[in-house]
Order: sequence, then structure tokens, then C-alpha cells
Amino acid sequence: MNRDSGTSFFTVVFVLFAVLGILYLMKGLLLLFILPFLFAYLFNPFVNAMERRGIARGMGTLLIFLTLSIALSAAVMLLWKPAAAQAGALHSNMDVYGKKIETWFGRIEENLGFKDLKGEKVPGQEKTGLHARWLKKAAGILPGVFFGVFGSLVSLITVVPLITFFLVRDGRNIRRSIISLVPNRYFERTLVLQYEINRQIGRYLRGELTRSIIVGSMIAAGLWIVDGPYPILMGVFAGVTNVIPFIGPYVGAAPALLIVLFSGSGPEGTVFISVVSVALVYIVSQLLDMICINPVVLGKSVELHPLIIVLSLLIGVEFLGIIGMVLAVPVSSILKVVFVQLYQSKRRIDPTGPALPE
Amino acid sequence: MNSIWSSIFAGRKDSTDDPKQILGEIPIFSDLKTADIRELEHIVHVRTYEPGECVFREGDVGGGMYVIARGRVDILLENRESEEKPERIAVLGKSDFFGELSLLDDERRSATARACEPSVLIGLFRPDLLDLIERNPRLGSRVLLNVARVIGKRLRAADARLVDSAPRRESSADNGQENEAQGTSRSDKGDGNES
Repeated sequence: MNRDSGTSFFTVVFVLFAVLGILYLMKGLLLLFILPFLFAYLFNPFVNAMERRGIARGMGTLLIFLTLSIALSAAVMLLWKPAAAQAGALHSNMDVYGKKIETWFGRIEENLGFKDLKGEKVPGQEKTGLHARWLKKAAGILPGVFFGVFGSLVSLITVVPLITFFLVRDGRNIRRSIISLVPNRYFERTLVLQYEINRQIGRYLRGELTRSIIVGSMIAAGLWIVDGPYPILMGVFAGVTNVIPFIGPYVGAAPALLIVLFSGSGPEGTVFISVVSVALVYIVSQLLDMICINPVVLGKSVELHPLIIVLSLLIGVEFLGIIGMVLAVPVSSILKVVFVQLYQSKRRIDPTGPALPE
Repeated sequence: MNSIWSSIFAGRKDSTDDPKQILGEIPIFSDLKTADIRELEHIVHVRTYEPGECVFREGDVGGGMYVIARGRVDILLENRESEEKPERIAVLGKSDFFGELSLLDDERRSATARACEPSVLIGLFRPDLLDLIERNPRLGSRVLLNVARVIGKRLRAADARLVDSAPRRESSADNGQENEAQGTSRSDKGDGNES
């Protein structure tokens, strides 16, 4: 690597890590920044398509927002009541599920000899009380994911659409203005790099979002057909967790399976059939996702080695929790694009390499 | 540019160079309508260079083409394997353009471009052109066609130069063969004479 490319390599790496550091410091506001970018990536192709038909970008963005507002209002009107009823039922049933899970664990403890025959704790086995606390925590995870992540709903509803609108309408100008600040020496490389990152991440996010919507809808419909628990809530949860590689589908399926397992009041055969039918809904959805949706929607958008994905997931969860897991793959993809571009440019300017005629 | 962003980044613009006018003067864009030139103005980048500052170096990955709005640019061939001074192959002035091949591919630059006086260049780059093709295919394909025309013209000129030099080369090659043949016959004769 010559001095020039070496310097630019370290500059780019420094800038990248500085950006990641700033994002980490502002992790409380991360969702407010990330969601608009995500929506902007999603809406951009539609606004571009309108521009192709001669509609000005500002007007196109406005039309997209209006159409979306109408569609969202219709969806809320249709789904709000059942979703709210399901959320309320889930919330009130949490105690029941908790008690059932506790009884279930109690039986296991008895079998393992952690309790004597009178039901009193064996001295030195106080740790058995941990499960109750753990279960209460576990029972609180689901509403935590729904309402904790989307905690300040008001700011999300007001700020996110506003930032998204400006990102879609003026995104190109903002990018151009930022790139205009790059020194001449790194200018061309930065321009090409941002284009590559934009293209790959845009394709990945649009693909993942489409996948999530399809998988979530399939699961909601499947649970509704088999009379599974809280179809809308479970569909939304499965759709969100589906973007997490490897473990996402399992995390998405766990709440529905646990609820069916611990809420069954009929004979054991009925509970078994319910668990199998709910499990089948998730298995069939995941199979369809793997065979049909994933190859079509994502294609070759991001090709990361499984080891890199696992490592990035671990780092993501360590720094940002569940949001970190969702962001792990896009961030790794950005890093990959940067390193590949720098490596290619290093190879191309290698004076010992073969000269290409122009 | 949008007024908000232009006011935020106002310091970067030089009002004395009008990209619209410069773009209309160069062959690649000369047949475009005023509205199209205005659209192009939104995707080009205006960059300023100090004397001696490199626009790009031979071997760098090419991102696009430059039009000279003000100043002069040296085109140099560097010899990286030796310490010799770069060879100047052209000096370009106002409204000249260079690097247009990089609009089509991402191969490395075949020469170095260096500003020899304070210069303002207008850059049109591949990512922006691809974006333009996606949003406005009519204008994008027109620009691409014009780039292809310019490259085609240059290819024809290079062909013509090759053809012009071909008879000379042929005649020199023929002379060489003749000489070689004569030499052989002479040596044959000599041999014969010797024998």
C-alpha cells in the first residue's frame, strides 16, 4: 500500500469509527435517526419512479406521504381495535402465564430434588427462588419490546415523518453538500464509496422490510387460521425479529409457543395439537421465506460470511441490545463495502500491477 | 440546489463561474435543452484547485469526467518505475473536458491531471449519472449517447492516425524485408562466391 492510499485508508477507518462512536453515545436517540433513514431508503424508489414520470421530487414526496397516511389510517382503523384488544388480553394474562410457568418450574424442581416432599425449600438451594424473578422478567419482555422500543410514541410520530420527508425530498442535495466538504484528494473516492454503500444498504433494507412484512403477515394469517394466540401482535413481533439473522425466527416464534404451552386448559392432547399447529405456522412461514422470499427479495444484496454475521450480532447486542442486533448486518455491510472499495483501489494503484489500457 | 442547503454550505460556491453556461459550451452537452442543462447543473460538482494540485493521478480509480470552467490543467504521463519527470502530453483550457471514459467504466486513470494555475472544474461522476438515468432516463440516455459519440469520434481519429501511419510502417517493413532478402541473397552470393 503506498503512502497516499494508506493515509486515506486510515482516514476512512477513523471517520467510520468516529461515526459509530457518536451513534453509540446518542443511542437513546438512535431510533429517531435510524427510522427516517430506513423510511427514506424505502420511499426513494417510489419518488424516483414519480420523477421518471415527470412529477417534481417535492410533489412526489408529498404524494407518497399522502398515500401512506391514507393507507396507514385505513390499516389503523381496521387493525387498531383487534390489536389493542389482543395487547390488553396479553397484558392481563401475563400474571396467569407467570403463575402457570412458576407451577411448571416448581414441578421440575420437585423432580430434581430442589424441594423436599412437604414443598419446603431444601437449605442451600435458595437459588431456586431465582426462577420466579426470572420468569417475571421474561414475562415482561414482550410488552417491553413493543412499548419500550417505541416508548416515546409522540416524538416518533412527529419527528420521524418530518425528518423522513426532508431526507426523501432533499437527500440528494444533503449528500452533495456534505460531499462538497471533502478535500479534492479524497473527493472522487468518497463519492464512489457513498454510492456503493447507498446502493447496497438501500437494496438490503428494502429487501429486509419487504421480507418482514411478508413473513409477519403470513404468521398473523396462519395463527388466525389455526386459532393461535394474538395473531396480529405475534405477526408484528415475528416480522420485526425476522430481520435478526439466525436467531430472529426462533425469538419470533418463542412467545406464541410459550403462550400456547402455558395457557392450555383442556386435556393434554389438545395442548399438544395447539403447540404443533402453531409451530407448523412458524415452520411453514420460515420455509417459504427461505425458499421463495429470501432469494427473490434479497438476492445478492449483502454477502457476508456467517462468522462475520455472528460476530457482528454479538457486538451489536453488547452495545445496543435488540436494536444492535437489527443494525448488526447493515453496519457490517457498510464496513465490508468500505474495505472492499479501499482494497480494490489499493490493488488498482499498485504500480507493480498490470497496466490496463484506457 | 435547495435554498436551505445552499445557504448552509454557501461558502463552497463560486458565483463567478456559471456551470450552466460552461456545460452548454462543451460538445457532450451542447445539444441539450436549457431545462436539461439546468437539471445537469444539479448533479455536477464544482471544485476549485490550487496551482500544482492534482485533480487525479495516473492509476487512481476513475469516478467521472471534468470540464474546465476556469484555469488550465496539465495532462501528464508519469513513469512510476523511474524517477524521471512526468511527461506533459496536453495542456487543457477553459471548456475543455477530460476523463470522460470514467463515466462508463471504473478502470484506473491512464494519466495524471494537475492544475497549473488556480482552476475551477465542473465534475460529472458516474454515480450521479447512474442516478440521473434512473430518475430521468431520457436525459440520462442522451448524455450517455453524447459521451459515446465523443468517444467514437476519438476512436475514429485514432484509427485514422493508425491508418495514416500504416503505409509508412508497411513501406518501412517492406524495406526491411527487402534488405533482409537482399542480405540473404548477398550472403548466398558470397557463399557461392566463396565456394
